[in-house]
Amino acid sequence: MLELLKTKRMRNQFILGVGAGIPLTAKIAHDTGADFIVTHKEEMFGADGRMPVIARAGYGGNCNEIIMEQADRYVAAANGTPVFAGVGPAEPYTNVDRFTEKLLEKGVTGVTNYPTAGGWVGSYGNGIQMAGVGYSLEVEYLRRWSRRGAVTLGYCFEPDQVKQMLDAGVDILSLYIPRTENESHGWDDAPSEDKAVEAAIELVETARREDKDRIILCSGATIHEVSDIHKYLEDIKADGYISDESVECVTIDRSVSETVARYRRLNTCM
Amino acid sequence: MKRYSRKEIIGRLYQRIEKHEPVIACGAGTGLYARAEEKEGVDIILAGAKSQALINGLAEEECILPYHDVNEVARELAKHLLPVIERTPVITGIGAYNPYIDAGRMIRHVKNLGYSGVINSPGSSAYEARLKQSCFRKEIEFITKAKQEDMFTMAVVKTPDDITAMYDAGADVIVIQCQETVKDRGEYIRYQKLLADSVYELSESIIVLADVGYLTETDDLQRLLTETKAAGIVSEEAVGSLAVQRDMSNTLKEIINFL
Repeated sequence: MLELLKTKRMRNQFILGVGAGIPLTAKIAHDTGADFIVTHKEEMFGADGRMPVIARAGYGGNCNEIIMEQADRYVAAANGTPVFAGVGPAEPYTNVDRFTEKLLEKGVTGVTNYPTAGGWVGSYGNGIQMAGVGYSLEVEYLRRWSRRGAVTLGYCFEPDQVKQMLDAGVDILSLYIPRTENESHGWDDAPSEDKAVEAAIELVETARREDKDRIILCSGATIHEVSDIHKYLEDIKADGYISDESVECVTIDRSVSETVARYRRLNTCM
Repeated sequence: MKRYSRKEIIGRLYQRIEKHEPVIACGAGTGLYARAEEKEGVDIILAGAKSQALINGLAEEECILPYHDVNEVARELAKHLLPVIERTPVITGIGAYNPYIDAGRMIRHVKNLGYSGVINSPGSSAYEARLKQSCFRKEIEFITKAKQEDMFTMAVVKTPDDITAMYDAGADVIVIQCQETVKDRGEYIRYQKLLADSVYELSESIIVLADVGYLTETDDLQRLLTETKAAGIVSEEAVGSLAVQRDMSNTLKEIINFL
């Protein structure tokens, strides 16, 4: 898989990862020729009509149990396209490595740190980091699994996190483009578009400086139309993009709404 | 979430019919689908193994294969759909031939979960004759029982015999389905019309809904309504999977085409 992505990057071909919160999205991603699929509890919350960030709280089930339970469905729907599963390594009652072995046995190609503590800021963010269950635990988890030969995908939100993930040897970086509208994601106030681009460029440049061969993708950003993604990427110059609920949920909502609206305009003979 | 009584739902459907507007029932496999459907004013949301199969990327027929319990799925979907729905009756699909359920208790159970009605879907009507006979009998009993419990009922039918049986059982709405049998669009609509006509022979007043099957074009949908004279439509695969596949695939292609 990595060879394929590296070849694509050398040829300047766009790399697309698709965040999937229902297996149907994984199927569509495969049919459309996406490079890989990412699934985790937050995507599933979005596709269930809930605010994704609430998936980080202790509601709606354990993120790891959910991934284990659902993994077969995503792997089957992806039909050979690689699937990344989001694992929370801070789970206190599970041996996360044994858990990961089982997950990979199900046909999952790689793991990633999602839901992540990487985006948490303020006293809560500091609190979980100081308790030893924050971002550094995620870095160590991906370090172990990079060494053990799984394909690893690391989500980063700050330059320092980029350095940590590179040092851990993750194969693919997903660098966060801040959202420009307040969407209650749990972190700082929404920056302007320029500031968001600036922040993302800093992440990409940090990564390139440290290691020019690593696959560098972006994720996030406030997306209203596909052209928004392209506009960001022109400036940021990453190798590709990982779509999230802002593509998946908006599309489902739009197509279901339009279909029903069309039904509404039909005439009956009664 | 509001649970509606049988009388309330039938009243709402007749209001729709009096305004010469189609009654619309759509399947929802997640809360996001249900929300979008409610926002656009569907009259009934259907929640069952079929709608979940679709969001899992399967064909809806696959949901009757023995790899899960369809009634467990109905129970599970309650948790996902009901809390985000404010004003639309949600009807759940029950596999009545499940040998481990007691019809009366099951009906009271789904009522307690917050469902406003039941439909015999996924049903046995696609099975071969002998198996269907015993299974469909259970579905008829189930609808009869639901009526006794004053629960709103929708009956999926595929043949004139099914129709007579479900009419006698007192189903509130007859849903005509035939997508497994007919692939050609013209033939599909003709077959739907044939079945609809056999309902009208029994009663002019009962509410008939035509399943849109794989029909997605507005012209075909209008023809379906005009020819069957149905009060409205039921949409599972068309809204739950086909529309989303087309739209999302286009979006992803557009993203990939970045140069």
